[in-house]
Amino acid sequence: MRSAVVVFPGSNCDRDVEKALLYMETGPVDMVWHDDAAFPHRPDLVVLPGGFAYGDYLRSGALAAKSRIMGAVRAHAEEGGLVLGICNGFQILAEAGLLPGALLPNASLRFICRPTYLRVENNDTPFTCSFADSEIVQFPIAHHEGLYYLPDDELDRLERNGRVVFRYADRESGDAGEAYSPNGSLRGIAGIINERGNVLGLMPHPERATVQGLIWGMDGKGVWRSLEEHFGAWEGK
Amino acid sequence: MKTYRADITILPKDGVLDIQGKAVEKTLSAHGYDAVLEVRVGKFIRVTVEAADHADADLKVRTIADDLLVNDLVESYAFAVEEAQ
Repeated sequence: MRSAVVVFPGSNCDRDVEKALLYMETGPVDMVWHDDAAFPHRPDLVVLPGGFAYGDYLRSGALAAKSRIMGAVRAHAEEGGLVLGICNGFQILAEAGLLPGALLPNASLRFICRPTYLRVENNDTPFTCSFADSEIVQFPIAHHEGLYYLPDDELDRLERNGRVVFRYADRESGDAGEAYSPNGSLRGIAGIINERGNVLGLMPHPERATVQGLIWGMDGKGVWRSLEEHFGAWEGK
Repeated sequence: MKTYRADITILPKDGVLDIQGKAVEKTLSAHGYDAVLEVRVGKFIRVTVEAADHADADLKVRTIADDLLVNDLVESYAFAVEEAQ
């Protein structure tokens, strides 16, 4: 699997994602500058990393969504290529219209940096196929704008189509929903996928829970393992 | 071509949770400003554009507001265009 990690001015998780991918030995990783018009090599996976692209000016992700590389990201997605947006990357995908909804300021109006528990709501995606159904995983969050918003009727449609992929949850009971949103996210939504199933956005950081020895655990490995499995099957390994 | 100035006001849409507005509202209420019924917090953006006439300036401002300045899922906006100088 060849990955491309987009670097925006203000990205600060680009190296973390690179490190996680290299740690998992998923294959070559190209770091791609936001102002480039194209990827240096055709990627299997494009990652939009976390951070504060363009200082989060105007709205989180709004200016990054207009940067030159996003034309190539959009074309990649339209061809069915996989795109993963983490935190600020999710905000960018929403602003670019590649995912529905908007990420509003946290209900507490505070920046929140802490581990969260998530329930895997859909393990039939290239990003989650190695997780068990309804598995509870721990990924950390670190954001100020993570309250997922979409009008009620559209949320219903999203849910019906299995497009809520991760939901904030209680570790002990396995219950998930708005009561467990650290940020007030509607219906406890932490991550969603597009209709076609090839573009995933999530606020929590799997790359910060991948490499051994970090304080956040290693549940994030499941995301990279899923992608490997997806491409493994595809390549007939 | 003439120069026009547009003052654009952006507010959270009705029905969209405006947490900043609520926080300000609560603080005002806690400080005894009983007359305050509601507070909504948004943005103000001033854009200067070159345009053939007022209608052209209006169209240009509306286009950039729709394309970038405003996320119409969660925000609404209004603006007024005036000839500058």
